[in-house]
Amino acid sequence: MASASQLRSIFQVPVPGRLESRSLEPPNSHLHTSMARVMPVVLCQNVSRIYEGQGARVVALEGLDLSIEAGEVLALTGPSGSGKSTLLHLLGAMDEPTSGHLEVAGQQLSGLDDVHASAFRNQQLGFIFQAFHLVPSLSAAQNVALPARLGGTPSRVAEDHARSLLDSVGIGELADRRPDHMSGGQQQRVAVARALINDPALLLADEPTGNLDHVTGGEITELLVRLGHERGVAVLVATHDPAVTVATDREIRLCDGRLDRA
Amino acid sequence: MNAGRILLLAACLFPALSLTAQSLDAEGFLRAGPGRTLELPADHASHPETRTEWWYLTGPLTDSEGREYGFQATWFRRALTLRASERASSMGVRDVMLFHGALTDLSTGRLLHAEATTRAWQPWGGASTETLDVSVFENSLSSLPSEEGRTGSLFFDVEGTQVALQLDLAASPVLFHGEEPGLSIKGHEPGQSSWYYTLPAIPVRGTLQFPDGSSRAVNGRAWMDHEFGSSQLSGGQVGWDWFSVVLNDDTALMLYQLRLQDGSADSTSSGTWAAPKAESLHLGQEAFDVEILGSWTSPESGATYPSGWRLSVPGQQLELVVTPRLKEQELITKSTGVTYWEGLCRFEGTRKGEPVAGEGYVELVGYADSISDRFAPGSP
Amino acid sequence: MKGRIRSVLGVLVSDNAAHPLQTLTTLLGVAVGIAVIVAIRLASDAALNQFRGTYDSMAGVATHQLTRVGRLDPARLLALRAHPSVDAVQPVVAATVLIPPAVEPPPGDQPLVVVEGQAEAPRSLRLVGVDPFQAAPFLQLSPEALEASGDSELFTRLLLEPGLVALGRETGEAWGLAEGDALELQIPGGRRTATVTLIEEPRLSQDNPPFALADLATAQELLGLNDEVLRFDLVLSDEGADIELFPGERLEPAASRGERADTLTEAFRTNLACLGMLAVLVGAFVVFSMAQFAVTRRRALMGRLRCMGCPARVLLVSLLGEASVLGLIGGLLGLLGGGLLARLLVGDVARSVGTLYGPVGGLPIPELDLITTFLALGTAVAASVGATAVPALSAARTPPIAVAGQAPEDAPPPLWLPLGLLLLAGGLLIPTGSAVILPSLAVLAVLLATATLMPSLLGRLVRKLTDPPLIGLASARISRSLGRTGAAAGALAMPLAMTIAVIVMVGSFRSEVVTWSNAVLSADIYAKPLWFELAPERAQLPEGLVEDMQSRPGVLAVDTLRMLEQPSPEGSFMVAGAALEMIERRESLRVLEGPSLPEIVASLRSGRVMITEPLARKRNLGPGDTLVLLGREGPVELPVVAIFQDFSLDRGYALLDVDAFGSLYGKTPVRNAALLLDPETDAEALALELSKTYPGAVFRTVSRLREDVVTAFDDTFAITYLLQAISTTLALLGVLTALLCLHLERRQEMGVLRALGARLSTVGGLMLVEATMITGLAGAVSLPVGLGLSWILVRIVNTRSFGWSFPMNVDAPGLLGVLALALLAGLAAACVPWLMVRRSEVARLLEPRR
Repeated sequence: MASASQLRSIFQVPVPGRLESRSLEPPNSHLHTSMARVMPVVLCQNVSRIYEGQGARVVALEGLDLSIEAGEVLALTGPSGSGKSTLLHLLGAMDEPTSGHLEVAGQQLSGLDDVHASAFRNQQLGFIFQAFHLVPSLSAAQNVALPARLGGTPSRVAEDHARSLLDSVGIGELADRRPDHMSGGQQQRVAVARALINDPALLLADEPTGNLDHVTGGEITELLVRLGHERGVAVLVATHDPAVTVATDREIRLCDGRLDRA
Repeated sequence: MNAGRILLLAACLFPALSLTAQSLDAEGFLRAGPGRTLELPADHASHPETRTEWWYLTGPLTDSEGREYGFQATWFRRALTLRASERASSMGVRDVMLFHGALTDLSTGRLLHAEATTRAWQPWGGASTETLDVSVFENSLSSLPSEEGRTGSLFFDVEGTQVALQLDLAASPVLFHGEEPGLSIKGHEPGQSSWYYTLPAIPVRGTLQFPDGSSRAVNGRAWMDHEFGSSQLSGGQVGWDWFSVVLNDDTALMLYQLRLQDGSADSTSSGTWAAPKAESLHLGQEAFDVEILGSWTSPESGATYPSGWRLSVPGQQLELVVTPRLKEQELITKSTGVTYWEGLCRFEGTRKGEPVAGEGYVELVGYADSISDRFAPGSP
Repeated sequence: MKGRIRSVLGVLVSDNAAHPLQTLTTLLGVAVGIAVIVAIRLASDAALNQFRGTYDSMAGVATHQLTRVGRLDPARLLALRAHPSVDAVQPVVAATVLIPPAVEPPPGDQPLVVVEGQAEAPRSLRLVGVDPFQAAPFLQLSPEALEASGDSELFTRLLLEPGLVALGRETGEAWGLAEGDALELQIPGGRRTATVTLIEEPRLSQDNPPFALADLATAQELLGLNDEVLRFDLVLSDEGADIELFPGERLEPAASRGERADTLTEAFRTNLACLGMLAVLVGAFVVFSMAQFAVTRRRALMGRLRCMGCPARVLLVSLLGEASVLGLIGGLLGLLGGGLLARLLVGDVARSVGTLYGPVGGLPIPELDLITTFLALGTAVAASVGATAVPALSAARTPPIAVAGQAPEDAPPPLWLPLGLLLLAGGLLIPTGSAVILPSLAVLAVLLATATLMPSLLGRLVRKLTDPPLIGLASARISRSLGRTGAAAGALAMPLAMTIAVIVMVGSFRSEVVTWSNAVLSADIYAKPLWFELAPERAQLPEGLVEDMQSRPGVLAVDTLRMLEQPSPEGSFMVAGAALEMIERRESLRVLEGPSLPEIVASLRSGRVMITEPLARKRNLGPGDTLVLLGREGPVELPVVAIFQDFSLDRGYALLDVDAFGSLYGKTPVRNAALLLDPETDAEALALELSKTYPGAVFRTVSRLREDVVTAFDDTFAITYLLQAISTTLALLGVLTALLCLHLERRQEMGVLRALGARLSTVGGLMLVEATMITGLAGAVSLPVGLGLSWILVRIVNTRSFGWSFPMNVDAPGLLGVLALALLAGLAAACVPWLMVRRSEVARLLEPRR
């Protein structure tokens, strides 16, 4: 596989000042560029997540070991309640592991304060949701530009970048349209573009084809795989859809919070 | 003896006064007792040193067309206190003046009556100590000082009908009641008496003015009682019957019976008879007799009054049958709270064998409610 | 149909239960609005009733009353009795007297200075002296009352025992008085002692102030009015009876005494009513805002019902029914709250009324009556249904397809509504005249226009603001929910605007009053009787005081003022007679229209009259016109020489030279006096000494008096400020709830933003911007609207109600304060939702709502 940075340099539209506009670098980020080839994007070592409360003890994840390389596109499968969402939340710094070591893009995900966690999510992660979750009163381009603007990029710059991303996901002509005037598939493409705008290291997709018909779902899956490979972005897709599983590089199956060594 | 008692009885909610032989009662009011000679016209005026006083007139009237009427007008004075002069306001109550008036119209069979009460404060009402001049608002009885009691005028208003009469006081004889002339004894204790005189035959003439504006000239005769004293009754007396008449032979008769609880007459019942231009003759209880001939029950109060009597004064060979001209002459008064019967009656009979007749008045008190219920001695 | 409505209602009830915050806010909106109007009604009725004076005859059968300027001779009774149209007549001597507080005398020889305007108003009593023999048709006492304690009947005791007054047993117990106790009464000229008997007559204790019955002569003695009566009560069989009146006499229907008091206090009551309506309007807008929320959140629900075949009609009826029920519940809460609030307000209303119209004795706790209850509940339901009508209509018309899909934006009210209201307001201001109700309605119309305009303004604002990202997001969110946020903003804009209007109006007024008092109050000591309403012409300084003051060393001059009430067909007014020395010496006259001061003084000395602004305005009089005064001998026409300003009396009055006054009215007692002192004399000490000697009068040094004037002024408006605060708080609560609910709705959206990497501070900032946009716009809009309203209040409402004009004096710091308050409110409104986001894990936020 081509290195992430090489791919990035080919397909990337130069955005002057982008590097400087990062308001906060996550710690160890200097390692990221130099270690990109060496370190996996995602590293889980014996990660557990246990919920306790109201007299109940729920073991969502237990003893999870996982690593994902840059540019890998993985399918995360397993029955409901197997811990898929939990893993996504953990990887997305939206939740903290009860025990174990969790590192994404060189960033330790335990004990992060809000500022750092937010910066991490903004810069290193891209989210794609089953329900798309676009801001209805913003246009497609504005929606895509949003994470960049949240990261401090000036709006004009961010929007230009957004439009080119929309092009690359195939709906450049819908840049000024609002989500409620788009089909599900188009909305999800916008969501994908949004997820990529800050050039993240990891894309997390939670049932991205769940609300889409078979054909459209396939298109989205293909888009995710292509973009992951092209941009050297690690992609983790939680899914029930076997068509997705087939399209990905690798499958990680969870069962009752543990990896299922099938 | 007349409705004046009513004021006395009804207003007598002060505790029964202790009976002493002195001529002043416990509050300093002068009690009627022996040794006073009444002098007219001076004694026509008010006697504020006594507690109670009234001027009472009744009489038959006839208009030019022969219609007959009877009128009654009484002015009472009741002293509440002797001490009024200490008050800063001149309107502080000392005496209370009451007025009762009635007019019986025999042609219509209706009785009109009115009453009014006021504190004695001029010009609302009052009683002069100089001359005969008593008034309660517009109802007045007065004699000009220049007239020296020879003439007087009377005015009162009953339910819109106004009665205005000129009184020829000088033309009437004077009856001084009681064994001692002028001292009328009512009860058995000393002080239960009043000074009492009557002008029984006062020629009157005047007008009746009706609410519709029409008026009629009337003339007739008036009987005037003037009585004053400070505590006249004793408990146990439930009421009285009183008769007065001047007959067509110019004799005058006044009788009163004080009734006791058991229905019998108290021994202090008495009367007066006078021949024309002669001294009045005192009649003790044994000197006359009253026999009841009938009765009448009032639909309004439910009381049953005697109606129709036979009076006899053997000493004068006088026998009279008394018939009310109108049965319904009951007065229900709010001001004193006492209901009584006061009415024009026909007196017919014989004296010394000769037929005699006259129009006079009868007063019946104590039939509607037992007066003793209201004020037996010692009751609150 | 009924069954369907019931099932829909059942669904709505569970929906309400599922969203307690919004439902509670709706209820609160109704409840607070209703509570305010109920409280105002109860408190002002309690405080103002005692001026109505119709409670003198407890039986109330008197149809007319005869009074007179000057002494009314009791002998007039005879002529009145004799008149064919007079069915009954009774003489009455009645007055309100103060009961001085039973204070321990201070130690040593410290003077006991009676302080007027003290926080605890002295108790007062309505002493009614009647003639028991003539009172029967008018005064029906219960049999129990007639059997008063003691050996003799009640009336006999009242007639014979000097100084005896009969109080209701309840009053006696409340005041700690037993049978036979002495009771001190404060009357002009000093104090008199009455003896109390207690009787079983509850009606004596029911009114405020309570009654005391006495014999006519006793009342005369206690009031120092020997040999005169104050009025005759009459029962006339014929309304148009032609009764010949003596000069100075006035015959008026008994009810009109109450009506006079009503006219007197009309301005005050209109002011309060306006504030009450504002509270209801604010509440209605809060309800409207919540109704919009309901529409939005129930969209899927409505869609489902429509899918199940429920016709729009049924939905509409159910929604309106729900609104009625909520209105009713809110109304009941409002009644309860109103009763409690009335207790709190009564003191403030009493203070305001007291400074304007005279001290109000201890007030009873106001009770809810049937009319108020029905009015309150009716208003509550009407407001609730009215506010919910439009949203309900739109909800009822939800297409079945709404089950899926996003909610459309809520539309703001169309522009013709606020513009139409503004036109209406303009129209209401056109009629001139003295009615205060029309301009007050105009004020309400302007407020309503502002509120209905806010959503459009807000929409326009947010469309302009799209950069930087925070603001753009906030704008987007606001414009998506314009109906709801706009309504909340409207609810806030109204009380803010009104607050500004009140601040400017009161501020201008106050500065004018201060200027006036500095210019005109130029004597050193002022003396006036311890106020009470015997009849205004009877309030007088104690006997001998003027002579005493004149004889004291250090006193350069004593200026006296006599005053009495002048009846007139167009409404009574006061006439005063003053020696003009003070005015001449110190040039202390604020002339609004007229020649120079020396000319005025000369004209007054030659018999002319000058009038204050309220009177001039009311009668449309100016210099050169004539004023008719009814003197002893009959009416007299006097030329008006000038119009001057005097804030010490809220009603208009006319001023004559003391000699002209005397020849017109005869000997009247001195009401006020002003002392000019030699500069070395210690005014405070002298005032203190005079107070000690003359407890029936109040002595103020000029500096104290100027303070009193300002305090009185502030007291008068205390209630206004309080009610404003209530309305503003309600509106703020509405905004808070609206924003909170919006955030609750958008929890997931927050989660997404957090997932996209937005920091807590960013999210907080977003909420802050959103909140501040709303409140800030409300504040900004309230400034010009408030200034416009203050113009209406100053130029129109105030001049009509009190008759005074003064320049508008805009107090910038005050206005900025209001703006700051609005922004602070936004800050506060953003806090709670931000705290909620802060506490939630991002994962939780992202969870779809149930």
